[in-house]
Amino acid sequence: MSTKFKVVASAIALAAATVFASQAMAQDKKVTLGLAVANLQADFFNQIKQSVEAEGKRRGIEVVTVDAKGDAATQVNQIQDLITRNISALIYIPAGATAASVPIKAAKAAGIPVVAVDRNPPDAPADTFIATDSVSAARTLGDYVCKVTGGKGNIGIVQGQLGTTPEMDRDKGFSEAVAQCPGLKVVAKQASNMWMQDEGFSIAQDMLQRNPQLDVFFGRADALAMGAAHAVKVANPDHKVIVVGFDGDVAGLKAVRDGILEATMTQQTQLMGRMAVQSALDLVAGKTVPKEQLQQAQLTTKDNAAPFIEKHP
Amino acid sequence: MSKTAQATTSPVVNPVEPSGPGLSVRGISKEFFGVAVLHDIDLDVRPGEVVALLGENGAGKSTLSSIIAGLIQPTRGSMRWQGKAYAPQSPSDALEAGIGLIHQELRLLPDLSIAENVFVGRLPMRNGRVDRHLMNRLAARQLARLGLDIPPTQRLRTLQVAAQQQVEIAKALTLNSKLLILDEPTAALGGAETDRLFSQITKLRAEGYSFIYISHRLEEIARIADRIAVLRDGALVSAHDTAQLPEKQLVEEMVGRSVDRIFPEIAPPQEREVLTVRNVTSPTGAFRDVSFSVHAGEIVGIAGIVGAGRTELVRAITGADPLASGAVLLDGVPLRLRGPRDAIDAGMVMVPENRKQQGLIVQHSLADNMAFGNFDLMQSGSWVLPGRVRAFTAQAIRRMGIKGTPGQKIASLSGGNQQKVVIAKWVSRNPKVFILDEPTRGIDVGARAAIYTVIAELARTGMAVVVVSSDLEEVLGLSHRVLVLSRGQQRGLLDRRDASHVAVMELATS
Amino acid sequence: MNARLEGMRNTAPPSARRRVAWPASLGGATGPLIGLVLLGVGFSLASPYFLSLRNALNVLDQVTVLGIVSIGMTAVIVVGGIDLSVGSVLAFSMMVMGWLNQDYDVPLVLCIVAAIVVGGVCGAVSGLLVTRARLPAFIATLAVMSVARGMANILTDGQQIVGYPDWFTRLSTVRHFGFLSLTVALVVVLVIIAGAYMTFRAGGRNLYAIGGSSEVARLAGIPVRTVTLLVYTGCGVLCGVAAVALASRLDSSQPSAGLGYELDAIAAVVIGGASLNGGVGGIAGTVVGVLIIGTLHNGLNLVGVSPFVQQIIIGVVVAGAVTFDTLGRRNR
Repeated sequence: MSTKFKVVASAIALAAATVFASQAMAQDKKVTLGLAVANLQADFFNQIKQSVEAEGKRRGIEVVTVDAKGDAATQVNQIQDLITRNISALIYIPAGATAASVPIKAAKAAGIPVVAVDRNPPDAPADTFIATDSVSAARTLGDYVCKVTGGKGNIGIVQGQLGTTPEMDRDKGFSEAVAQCPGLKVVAKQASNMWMQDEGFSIAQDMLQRNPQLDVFFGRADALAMGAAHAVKVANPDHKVIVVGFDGDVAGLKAVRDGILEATMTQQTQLMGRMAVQSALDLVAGKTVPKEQLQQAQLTTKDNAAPFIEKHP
Repeated sequence: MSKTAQATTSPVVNPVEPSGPGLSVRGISKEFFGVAVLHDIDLDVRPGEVVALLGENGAGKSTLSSIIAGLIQPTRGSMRWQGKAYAPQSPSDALEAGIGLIHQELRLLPDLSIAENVFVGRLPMRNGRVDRHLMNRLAARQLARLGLDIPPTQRLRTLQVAAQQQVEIAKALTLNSKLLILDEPTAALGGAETDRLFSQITKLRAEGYSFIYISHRLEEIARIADRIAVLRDGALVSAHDTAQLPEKQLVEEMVGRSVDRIFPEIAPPQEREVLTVRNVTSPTGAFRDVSFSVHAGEIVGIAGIVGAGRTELVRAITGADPLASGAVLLDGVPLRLRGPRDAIDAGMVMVPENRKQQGLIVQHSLADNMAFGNFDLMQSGSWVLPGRVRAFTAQAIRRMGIKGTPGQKIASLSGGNQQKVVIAKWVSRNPKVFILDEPTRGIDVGARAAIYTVIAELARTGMAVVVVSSDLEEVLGLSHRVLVLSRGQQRGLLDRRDASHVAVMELATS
Repeated sequence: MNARLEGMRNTAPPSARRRVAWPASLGGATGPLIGLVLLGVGFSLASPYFLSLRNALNVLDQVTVLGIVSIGMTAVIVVGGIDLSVGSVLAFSMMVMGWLNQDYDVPLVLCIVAAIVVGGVCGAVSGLLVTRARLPAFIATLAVMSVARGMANILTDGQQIVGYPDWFTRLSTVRHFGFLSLTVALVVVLVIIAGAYMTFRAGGRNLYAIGGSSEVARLAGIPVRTVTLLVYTGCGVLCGVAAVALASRLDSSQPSAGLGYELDAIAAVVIGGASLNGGVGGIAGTVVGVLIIGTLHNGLNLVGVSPFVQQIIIGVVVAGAVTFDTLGRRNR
């Protein structure tokens, strides 16, 4: 082997080592946020993801996103990987019926602060919890239904996945409002498995078949509500049936604007995304952040849907 | 094609000029991964002529016919067909030119109708829909031409193998094939069906169709072929302008050495009765009330035409299929047959009819195949160690003279060696009764003699042997006694000296 | 094809013929193993976090459940079957365990046994449908998949069960001797047992005969139906074991757990060199397949690849790995 070759080889090795070392150092100093999303197929989560990534970009922070596709076990694996990757803080949108506490315990053990969004494990709460005040929002929606129906009518509810926090909270708030409105009666309730539009369609269709006198459908998410609205359109009943949804995702807002849905509760996804980033940075910097940061959802009807479509709150 | 009819009457001396109207193959060679499997083959097939292609398995017959039918392309050499250069790149090229190959293992769709099978890939259409009416009519016409009286709407699965084969021929005829390559067409046929096939070939030949006929059965070739080409180890050994040659000469050309006698000496049987079959009847009616016995050292042949119930009988005796009534006794003890395991444990084994589907797992190694069913013989403690399996197999390979290694895949062995593996597997168990169903089907002549020697040897060591075969020569040449079945009924149990060709056929067709 | 092989027989050089017969369960794994090594090298270059003992242990943690399920799936695929119900059976077993423990105060150890038994019963049902009712394995296990998922939801009306004792979650989290959690140790033990059984025991070798050709196996005296039934039952039992491991890892029981695991398990087995036609495959190959899937997920997360792009890469790698293996096999 010639000397010349040896010199060249060592030069390359040295250069490579320098590059790797500097890269590693750069990554050590830079703030990296891990974002574990429950399921990117759901527009609501996707909105939050986009907001977090946009905010991260604006501030020059690296955001590493993983998608659990709705499976809690996958999410535990992914968060383990994020921790290995030395993230500075974790933004955690739990997957599964109720939030798993394992990821939070793991992150805490590694000294990584956690911001929970949408759901929060009761037995091991995150450092801060950002969510919509679903109970109060569902109550607002129930009051609105009472108002537009003149306080009278039969309600069919297309529920989300049973046992999940949003389903339970929305049930609680809406039931409270209906109880205050003696002419309104919930006559049918059925659960979906995946919060999906096609489920909403078939569930509502069957409800109408069994009970043609329904006046109101409440889809626990916009996708479910839009499925129900389509079922109403297909059944073409002899009286007016109004459909309300929840979440205020883009498709839902457009449906409200076009009069397909009567109303929805718009959750402030963009705001929550920005807040999540802000809270994560505050926690990294050692500042105190409130344990719970509940946001109001905005009642959205035909009158105020347009600006939300333009720019999501 | 009308002018070619005269060619059949006066055989022309080989070789003809390459631009003749038939098929002429010149200097075809083929290599696979640098290994030559065909060397410089010349062959001529003139219109209205049946040319027999003879050779052991591995001699290159299938490779050559695959090249002619466009399945594979030659490494060197050229072909002319109907006066034009012919170099098919695919089977459809060949079909378009009028050359069709009918495989030994039929390539049909069992769940479609006969007509759909005949027209698959080119169903007649009208107004964007399949014109079933026209399709069935055209198919019926072809079937009638072949002397087949079956409705074209019948599902293919319901047909006998022989009839399925004729559907393949009908399909080739509707494709306007002028040259048909028949690869072992009679392997699964009985005597009567073979006769019908031959009369069809004779008829089509008179109409100017040509055939390349591949077979191991020399007596058939003498009956049907005009000329014979013999291949050995990928080379053309000889080309004869007549099919009327002594069998012995042909066999010697195929195997490349002199073959004095195909059938070995059969030793006289012992007195002791080993297998007793009493009044057995099949639940499906495939055979009724059959009784026979086999002595130690005796070979009993079972003869009959296709559908006589021979295979069904031996399968039921060995526990592969249920029996409706009757008894099977081994050394005087009645067997309780719930499955093959019961027969095997009692000391009765069977080499099944279809080697590749029932006898061997072709994608597995020789050692694995030897081991399946024999683990109890090769365990150390209760562990099956690869070394032991290999040693066990190597021993069997030596004993049976199998050309192969323990690690070799069964698919890469010749038919004769495959059959020896099946036999070796059961010989290892040292059974009392050895049943072989079609032991030499699809096996070339040289290897057949070796199988016969093995069978004779089994009897000599005192086993009771049963041989089922469609090949009457084989049954007569090997057996001490011959059981003849016809339509599920026992027609006779002939002694070796009474069992002539004629006597057996009379009973079998009664 | 036949002609080709026959032709080669006469003239093949002796060295080509002398390939030693080594059990399929080891011989088939070399191709995938190379793939795994390449994957490891690639990720080591792409991410500074990948190549460390801690991360290697993470990958092992992450593949425990898939590993256990894939062992059963290997046996099922080797006998020429398929089991689509593994994910649902896992969820059902998991829910039975949690439900007995929480609603009826049954001691957790007994609940674990119950989970495994429930898995075995589900597997036996699949096995009976295949061997007695003669349903195609695809349909039989599809039916069981649906039923088991439904039962998993019925037990608690779709609610998850949280709150196992600390000792139970420690099974999967505490790394003994600094590296081996009990669940990972369990996988290692199961792999060794299953691998040895399928390679060196008559019962295990019989699986290859059945998958190669069930008629050949039957005529060779192998009790095909009984063995097939036992294989499905065993696969169910392993789903029950996997359920316990997953519950420990998640510290909860969820009726939606295991969604889509059947596809991951099938992919792992096939990447490991098994054929869906049966008769080919082995535990060693499956282990490599499981590690390839685990490493892929882990590595892509560490590199920080976007979730949507991850799906594409995983699909391409699965197709590539199997193509590579099939082509290699054909040329052999």
